[in-house]
Amino acid sequence: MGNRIGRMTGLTMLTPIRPRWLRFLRIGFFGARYFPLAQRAILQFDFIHYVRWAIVDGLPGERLRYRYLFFESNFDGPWQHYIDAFAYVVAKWIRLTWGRGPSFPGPPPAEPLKEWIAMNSLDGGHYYCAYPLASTRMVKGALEVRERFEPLVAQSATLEPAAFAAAYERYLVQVQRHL
Amino acid sequence: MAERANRIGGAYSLTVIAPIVAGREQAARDAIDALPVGQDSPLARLDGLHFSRIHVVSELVFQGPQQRWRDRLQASHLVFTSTIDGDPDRYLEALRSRAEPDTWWRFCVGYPGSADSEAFRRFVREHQIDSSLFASAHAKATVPGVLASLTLRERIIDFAIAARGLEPAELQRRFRDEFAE
Repeated sequence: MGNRIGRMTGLTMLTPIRPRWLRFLRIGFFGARYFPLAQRAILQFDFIHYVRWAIVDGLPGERLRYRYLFFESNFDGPWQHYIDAFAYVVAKWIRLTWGRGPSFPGPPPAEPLKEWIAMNSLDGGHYYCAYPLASTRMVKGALEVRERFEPLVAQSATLEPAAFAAAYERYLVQVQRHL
Repeated sequence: MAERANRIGGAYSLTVIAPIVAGREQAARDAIDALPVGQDSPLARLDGLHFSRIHVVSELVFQGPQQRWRDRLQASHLVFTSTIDGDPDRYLEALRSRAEPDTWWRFCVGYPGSADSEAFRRFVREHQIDSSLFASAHAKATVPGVLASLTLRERIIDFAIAARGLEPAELQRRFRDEFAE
């Protein structure tokens, strides 16, 4: 496959940007870096580990009529399962990003978007992940479990047994959704 | 400013696109496809690497009649991406010295090889494309931090199952035996 390992999928696309949309896109990306709402909208589904967009102004040795939008996302796959959520919940963000690209089927509905992604997905190659079996939710949960655990370890040295047992129980309640 | 856009939290997005020498496209594909996967991948030798992908792009997808002009690539291009902890130059040095990058980049135009550290770094940097936007669900987490957290989570689950019903003093003793340094 080249873009699957464990439960991870790497989705890469390289799509043309309409010339008139280029300036808006640059401003939009710049603003999104300092406007957390945009990033929260993208990451709200808890299945994307990392995602990047890059405007490709040119490639060595090539004379291209368009600028291209390089997109790469690393997420808990396969992508078909999640496109419905994207297509309906964050449709406006998707339309803002690709909506002025030639032939982009602005969602909703989801099916034309799935066809468009399938058409543009760059397959093959080599794919690596340091934690291929850990979903985004697992990673975020484990980080929280660890962060909350360190005070409990410190308390285990100082509290009386009954007080420690109570602290231990409180800890398990706090993190149980991540275990 | 562009370099800053490659970062989010402690993570850095490296995107490198380099043209392949004419006639070497299939050899590049074969070399990439032959790389061992998972923990046997040469990329698994790099401590701070979250994700990486290496592949070849030979054509730009034509979007249909609404695309006024059709762009055709003169060469195939090798696309290399990494999501890493911290400093990209430190990562490139680790990549150069430990991950045998000649395996895939030796098919690219102008690639100087990995023997010369500075020439290698310059080649990669010259073909780097800065991210316009980079986002993550766990941007502050390092690879060692993620792996340690996942392992600890498993240990806590095992302990919680084994420690059910223990008296407080015994619970505390076993907890300290298991987790206190």
